[in-house]
Amino acid sequence: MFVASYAQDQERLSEPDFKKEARARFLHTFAAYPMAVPALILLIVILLSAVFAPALTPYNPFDGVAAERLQSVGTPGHLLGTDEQGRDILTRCLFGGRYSLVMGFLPVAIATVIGSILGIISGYFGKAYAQIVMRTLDVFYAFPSILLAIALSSVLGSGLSSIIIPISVILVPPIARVAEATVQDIMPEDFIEAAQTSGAGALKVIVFFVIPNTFGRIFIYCTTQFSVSILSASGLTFLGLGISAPTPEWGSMLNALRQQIFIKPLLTIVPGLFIFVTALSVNILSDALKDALEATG
Amino acid sequence: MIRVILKRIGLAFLTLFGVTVIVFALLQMMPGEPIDSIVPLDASDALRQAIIEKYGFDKPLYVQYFCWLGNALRGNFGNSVSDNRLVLTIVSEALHNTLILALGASIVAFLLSIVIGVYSAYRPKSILSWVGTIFGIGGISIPNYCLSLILIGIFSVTLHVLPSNGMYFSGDYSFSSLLRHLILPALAAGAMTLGIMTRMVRSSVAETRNRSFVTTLRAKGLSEPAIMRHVLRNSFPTLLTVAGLQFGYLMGGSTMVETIFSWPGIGLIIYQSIFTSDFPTTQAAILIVAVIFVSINLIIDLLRIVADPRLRK
Repeated sequence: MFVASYAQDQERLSEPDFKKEARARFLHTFAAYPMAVPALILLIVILLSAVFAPALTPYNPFDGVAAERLQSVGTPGHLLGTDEQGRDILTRCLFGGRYSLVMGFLPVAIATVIGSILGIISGYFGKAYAQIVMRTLDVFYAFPSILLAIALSSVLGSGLSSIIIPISVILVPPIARVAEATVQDIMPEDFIEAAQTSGAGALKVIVFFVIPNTFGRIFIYCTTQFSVSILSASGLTFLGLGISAPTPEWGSMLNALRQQIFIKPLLTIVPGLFIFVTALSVNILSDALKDALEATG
Repeated sequence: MIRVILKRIGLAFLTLFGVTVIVFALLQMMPGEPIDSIVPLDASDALRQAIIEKYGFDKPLYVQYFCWLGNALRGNFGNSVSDNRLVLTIVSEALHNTLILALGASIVAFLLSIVIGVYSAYRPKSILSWVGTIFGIGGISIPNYCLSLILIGIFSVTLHVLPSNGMYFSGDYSFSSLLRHLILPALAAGAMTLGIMTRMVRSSVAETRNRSFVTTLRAKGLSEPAIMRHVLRNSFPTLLTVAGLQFGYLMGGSTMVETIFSWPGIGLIIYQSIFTSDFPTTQAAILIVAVIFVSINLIIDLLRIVADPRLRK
């Protein structure tokens, strides 16, 4: 009797089942978050339409028809109107997504790697090392981040890297801080001490025990930085940094169109709405992910 | 407590030292040689050499750094390359204008976010809480440069009720003229702050309300308003930090908004100086913004130490 129920318990709690249950709860909490599923779908649509832009539109993003300049939003044939050179705005926005999404994503990826490494090592070793790293990163906190990005970008000249590098630089310090704090939280746990006393080296403890137990929280924080990244990156190109004129990119398109605000206000803000909707979807997703991760524990 | 405060002030000076190094490094990395803006292109090599020596460009970098630092500490940033006025004059005028914008933006954002945030932490199912959610997520998602254009599109172009650029109507330097020019840029610049603060206030107050000391207070029979006072007192240090940081961002981070509205503040100065290669102005503006930012953070931390006995150890 006892043996049988013990076996049942074992069966019920066997690892694959436990994982499956956790995953189900994760997905359920995620989907229950208001607007999470629509945001996910929207983001996938934006992503796919950027990837398959050439197949989706009959127009070329660089060639305009002078006679069709500044057509209103909703003009047949030009759903979102045409810009000051007669180019189809929808087409340019679809192609623009390629640049804007890369400029939103890449800095987060770069900063996540660098920031996590710096933060995890400071959190793990503490003391002098943490002091040096964290106090150095404090210096970057002395600037309003967008200002530092503008200054760095203007120094780096033109090209995609003059956007990606500055944004990565401003994202590293906050990610490192969160990583350090997260690691510090789990350092007093018994399993860390157990691993250390059983002879595992620092690298092994970090790779097999620290990272698996902190990755979720660090990752969630990094997802919140995606919108910071895309807003700042498009902000730089809006100011005319990094990306030069004919290239379709949301920020620089907004900059080019802004002269038309007094003639066609609705038309002018179209590229800005693409930035807004993307950032909005990502922020909703990251909130939903956070909820789901907290529910799963 | 004195020790903690002194330590924090020491840290601020260390950070400022780092800031000067970064700004100096940025200056060195700027494309083009600084002497090219002084020496005529057709100058002889001997003249060129003489000028290099006169300005100390042949000295080692660390000597140049300390000379530059010494001048900066005395407020001597040289003259602007574009209009030959003293950089310090240009920057301090701009700073004054940015302060007006930052105050306008933060007054609206702080008041709204505290009211909405506290209320929705107490009544999560109310309409205002719903509004708070939209402000929260919308505020952190909308680019301030896009919001600026939307506001101009609605209030200046379509409704013709508010002006879309500058600080005053020409010839009319009254307060009401300033106020009408301030509304749109302040809303655009403050939207992000409103979003961040609303989320922050709500989660912080909601979290504090769930702490066990609140249950204890309630069990002891304290009235709801008295409990609320304790809850707010406990979330206050966190909110103060975020508010301070946000004000700092508004002081230095409204470049796009100032550019769109032609608001003659520090952000516009930085934007213009970068595109006219006016290095002395760029670096002075960035340095001064960083000093203000560090000072605000320092003041906030000191206030927290005073407000929160746990931080005094």
